[in-house]
Amino acid sequence: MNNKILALAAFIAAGYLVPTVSNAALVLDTGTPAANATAVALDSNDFYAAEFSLTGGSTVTAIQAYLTNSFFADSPGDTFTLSIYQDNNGKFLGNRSAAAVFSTQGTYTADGWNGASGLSWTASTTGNYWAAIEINPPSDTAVQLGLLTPTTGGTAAALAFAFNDGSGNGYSSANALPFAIQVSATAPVPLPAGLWLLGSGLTAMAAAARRRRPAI
Amino acid sequence: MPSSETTKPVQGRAFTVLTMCCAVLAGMAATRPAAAADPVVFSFATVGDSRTDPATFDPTTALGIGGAGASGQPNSPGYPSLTGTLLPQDAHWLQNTKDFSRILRSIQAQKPNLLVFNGDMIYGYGRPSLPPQLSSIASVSALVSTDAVFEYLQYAYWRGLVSQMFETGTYVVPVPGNHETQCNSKDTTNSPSNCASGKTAYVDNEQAFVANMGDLIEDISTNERFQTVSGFGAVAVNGFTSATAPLSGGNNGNYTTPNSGSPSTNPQETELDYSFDITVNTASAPELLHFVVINTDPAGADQTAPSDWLAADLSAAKQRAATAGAIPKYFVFGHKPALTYDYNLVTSAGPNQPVSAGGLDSNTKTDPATSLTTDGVTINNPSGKYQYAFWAVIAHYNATYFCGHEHIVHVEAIPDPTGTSSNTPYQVTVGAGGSPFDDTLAPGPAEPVPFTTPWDRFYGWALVQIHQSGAVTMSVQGFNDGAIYNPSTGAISSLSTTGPLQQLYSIGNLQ
Repeated sequence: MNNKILALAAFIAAGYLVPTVSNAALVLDTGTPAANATAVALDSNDFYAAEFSLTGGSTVTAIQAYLTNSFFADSPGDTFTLSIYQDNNGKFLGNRSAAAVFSTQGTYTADGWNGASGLSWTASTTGNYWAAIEINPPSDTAVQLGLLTPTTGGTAAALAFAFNDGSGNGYSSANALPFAIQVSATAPVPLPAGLWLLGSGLTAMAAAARRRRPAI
Repeated sequence: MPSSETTKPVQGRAFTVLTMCCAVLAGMAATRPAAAADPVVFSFATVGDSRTDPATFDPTTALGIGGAGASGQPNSPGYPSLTGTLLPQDAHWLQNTKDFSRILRSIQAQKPNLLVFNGDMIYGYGRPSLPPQLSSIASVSALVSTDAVFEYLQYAYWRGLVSQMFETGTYVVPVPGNHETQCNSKDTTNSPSNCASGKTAYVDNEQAFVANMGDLIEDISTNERFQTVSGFGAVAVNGFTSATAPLSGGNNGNYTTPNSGSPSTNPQETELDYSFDITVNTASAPELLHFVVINTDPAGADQTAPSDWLAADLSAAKQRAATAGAIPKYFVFGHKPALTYDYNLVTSAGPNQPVSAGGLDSNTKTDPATSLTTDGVTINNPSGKYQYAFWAVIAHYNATYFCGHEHIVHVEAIPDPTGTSSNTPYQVTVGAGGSPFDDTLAPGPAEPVPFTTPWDRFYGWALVQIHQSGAVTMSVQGFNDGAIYNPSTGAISSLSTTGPLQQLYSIGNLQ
């Protein structure tokens, strides 16, 4: 097998091994706030979450919230926690012991969209999830940030909003306010497409090999 | 910003990309200037009025005891219900425990150095003296229901609620309110003859306040734990002894006509009017933070402020700051507002009814001292109105006045009514610590929806922050009462749990 055939095989194999990666899309986008929008207070007592749907195999790559220093309490570089909870028949809501299926730290840099990117958490099952923003000292350094209420419609509305007032009862969706948050995720490539890629690759390999076989 | 997807058909993809571009541009347009790094070097929170009312509690504080709602939802046991009742705990201790506790939790998260509580921590309204019927009391239950015992128990319950603050670095500074210093003839359980008709402040009540709050006040001076808790030492204390405290009605004793049933001579207001300094270092210069607490319902002079004592106190603080090369900042705390906030009152007569004066402006008497000299400046007050003299002093020093009494959150810049000063200092009303809201949404004509002032039925408090740059900022925040309104009548149609914590006012340069 000559070098060209090896290169073609490697290319096809690479294409087969990474068929599940596609560019990220917004799976949660609640909209953008106006400058004078109402701010809800995010601190170590008051947490917020928004519910969204996610297909199994999707990979969350970024979580961003529209944060401002509305309470004059924070500086650029302060950190907060971004978590994803699974809504398993409503067990997340009101469940004070719900455990996050994914957590990472976001950084406040300036008033606007702040959060974390370059993430690679993959949902194992299709269902509803909650994207939560929290401040958990001492690992988080933020004190009190403003989460603004969106004034323009987003491209992927939240299924619901919830907040935790620190009472020990966990998150509640009753009387919750919307806030600006975005979650980006890559969708898995459907299996038939992967098989089509594999098949076409093998066919190409066979054709190339037959063309280069010397005549007897 | 996350990128848009590329797996859609070309037309859909182009639309998505266009949408995302618009969203990005809108986001950029809405983005505020980057916040500069300006750390907080000192902060204090202030709120008042956490007591509830045994008879006219706010319906949003009632719980569905024995209710039939779905579990965990309104009307179910322990959740809000318009047809519910006060939790027995609050009916007994006369405190809005749930909402005041949430306020305390959030204040703890903000980590202020001080929490100044602006009065009405108890329902009180008795006269905590030896009751005339003492000799005939034949049971423990009768004994503990007397004014003195019952008020002391209410104080103890409130002290328990705030005790957690000290453990997380926030020292609690108490301010006397009218429910502490006054007896209400309709509420006293003592012999009615022991309490003049209506609401009257008594020395007995003032002594009960000092007996139950005095350790907190005295520690500002003795420093058994003030500095350990707050992180700062208090100096230049004033009003902690009879030699430095004002007389009721003013240091000059100019309230010459004591109220009916009051002592014939004006009592000394030791530990009821007091002040202290805290110095913080900022980037430009030290700042001398001067804190003053005043009693706006002293025995013998209800609805007054010790304006002349305050003027002398602020002048002395100004001199100390000048000597130290520091920038003075003045914060004055009293229970009653100088000028009543006229919110949108709805009654059976219709919306926008005038709100009756309930602060210092409710005093119909006049001060015979129609001028007051402070800091070399003479304040002429020919009207003799107590609230005018008081506000002129506040304005001269560009102080900020924090108060309660009105169960509402409101921030207003008020000019000097005497015209002596061009300053327009803030009156910050934070009397929404759990007491029944003043804006009652009484049945009757519709209240405009949304409200003219949407925060009138929010529980809230103020947080004042001194920054590294020297800037003094204030954020007033709170949460709604969970009421859901009928859009056509404005009346409460149902209840939910209280809402998320929101910013109500933001002042970037308080003084």
